[in-house]
Amino acid sequence: MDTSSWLRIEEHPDANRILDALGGLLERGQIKAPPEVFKELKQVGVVEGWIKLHQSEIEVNRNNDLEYLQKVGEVTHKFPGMVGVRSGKEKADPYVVALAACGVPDPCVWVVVADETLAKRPNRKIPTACKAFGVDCDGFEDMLRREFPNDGW
Amino acid sequence: MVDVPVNGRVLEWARTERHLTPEVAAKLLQIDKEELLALERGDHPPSIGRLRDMAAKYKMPFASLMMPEPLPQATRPQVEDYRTFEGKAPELSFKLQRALDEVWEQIDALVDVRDNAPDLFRLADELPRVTLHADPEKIAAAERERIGFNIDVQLGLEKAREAFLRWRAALETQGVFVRVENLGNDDKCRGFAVYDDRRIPFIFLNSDETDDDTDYRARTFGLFHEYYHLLLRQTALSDHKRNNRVEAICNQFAAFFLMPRERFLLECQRLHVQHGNITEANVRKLAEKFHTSMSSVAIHLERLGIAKPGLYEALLGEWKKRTRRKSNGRANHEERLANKLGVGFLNLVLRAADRGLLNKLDVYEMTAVKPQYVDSVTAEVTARIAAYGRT
Repeated sequence: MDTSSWLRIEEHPDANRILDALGGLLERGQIKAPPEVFKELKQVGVVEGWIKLHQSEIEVNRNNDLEYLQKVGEVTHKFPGMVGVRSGKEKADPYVVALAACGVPDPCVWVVVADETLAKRPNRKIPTACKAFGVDCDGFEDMLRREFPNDGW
Repeated sequence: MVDVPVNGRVLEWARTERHLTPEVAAKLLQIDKEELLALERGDHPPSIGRLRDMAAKYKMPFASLMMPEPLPQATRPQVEDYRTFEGKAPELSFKLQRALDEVWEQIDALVDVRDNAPDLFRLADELPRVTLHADPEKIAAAERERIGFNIDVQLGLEKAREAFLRWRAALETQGVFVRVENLGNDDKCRGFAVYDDRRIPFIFLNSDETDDDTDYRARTFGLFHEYYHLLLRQTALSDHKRNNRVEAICNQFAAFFLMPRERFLLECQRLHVQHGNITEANVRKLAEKFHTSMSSVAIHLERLGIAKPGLYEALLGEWKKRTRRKSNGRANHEERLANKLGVGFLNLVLRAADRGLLNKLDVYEMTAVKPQYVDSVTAEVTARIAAYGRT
């Protein structure tokens, strides 16, 4: 899950219900995010409560994994606008895409969950990057509907 | 620690992107120049710690250093450089390049907002377009009329700060974004203007954070100098030096905009400024009256034939001997943000966030405003709009 999805939960009127639902996915090890997502959340004061409690279960740190780091580089090279190649900021997006593309931590199918839509400049958006690297990408609410079809999301 | 087999050419690219020589970069990284060059040649891979340090010192994402190849030169921001120092354009410094890159990022982000909410923007196409053959005095008169800033109101303002903030608000109302930041004088750069195919007109002024009236007057002149670059549809670095034709034309526009000929001559008469009695004190009085820099007044006096050629150079020699006052740093966090980023920019980002087009992180990345400061920054923006005009 990328940063925008966590922010979406925080602002959602049904935040507690969402977090309850995510608890099941978490128990099965189905929600993961790289440390860069938590750094971004921390910048805007969102790493607290439920997220802080479960950070260690969600966070996957593969920053010493060469295959993963090379994938981060490939995403960056292909989507410099999304990453802000020349900016001084380390954005989480390329790490999220690379994590899913490398199939970590387990070699199963990972889907990126991002609360972004394709605007007129798709080359700056995470769904386009996912597509280029053969990764499925869902909107946050799409994920809720897919994972919990009977819960009326 | 893990060694990372990066492409050495990417490391070289990152260093040159930041305009660092191997000597300066090696010093920054606290390694030998030879070691740095060996890494850039790909003789051996750097450790992950070294790479992270390099990213931090170059102020560049770590992810950028992991790219398989450098980005093509064509992806670099294209800027015309009108600065001259000892006969040529000075090198861009690390600071100036970073400022350019940050503004590029801001404009990209603004384009994303505009794609989703065009109604928040005044279309930049509404700014008139001029050519270098146009008469800057006529354009200045037409623009004063169009923007609607009465000369009596201008001359009636007490403080240079108020004049600057009103002018800034007037340009922001035209859809121009104005950022003010102190980059120092290493680059001989007074500011830059960006107007490219993204059609977001942007002015950057290199100016100290200060309440000093002299600085505000210089800032006002710089504002209109850069504004003319926008009217020329240029993306350009400026130093305001007269020996460059384009810079001289932009100076003329700014001077005639702030000091319309007829009124300027009248004020000269009132102050008994005429051939033979032009002193620094007279120049200061006129600068205070019109809320513009003393340099621009001196040059204007020469141009209008009131002073003999050479007045500006003579005064400049004196001014260079004096020490500049430092910022008194009295502004609070919200005021500093509004001074730096401009009410137009902050207002737009906050409105876009209010509509749900930007999340907390977007707002923070675009403005450095943390969620707990959103309300107080909004209050500062609202107060400035009430005081200095709408944006």
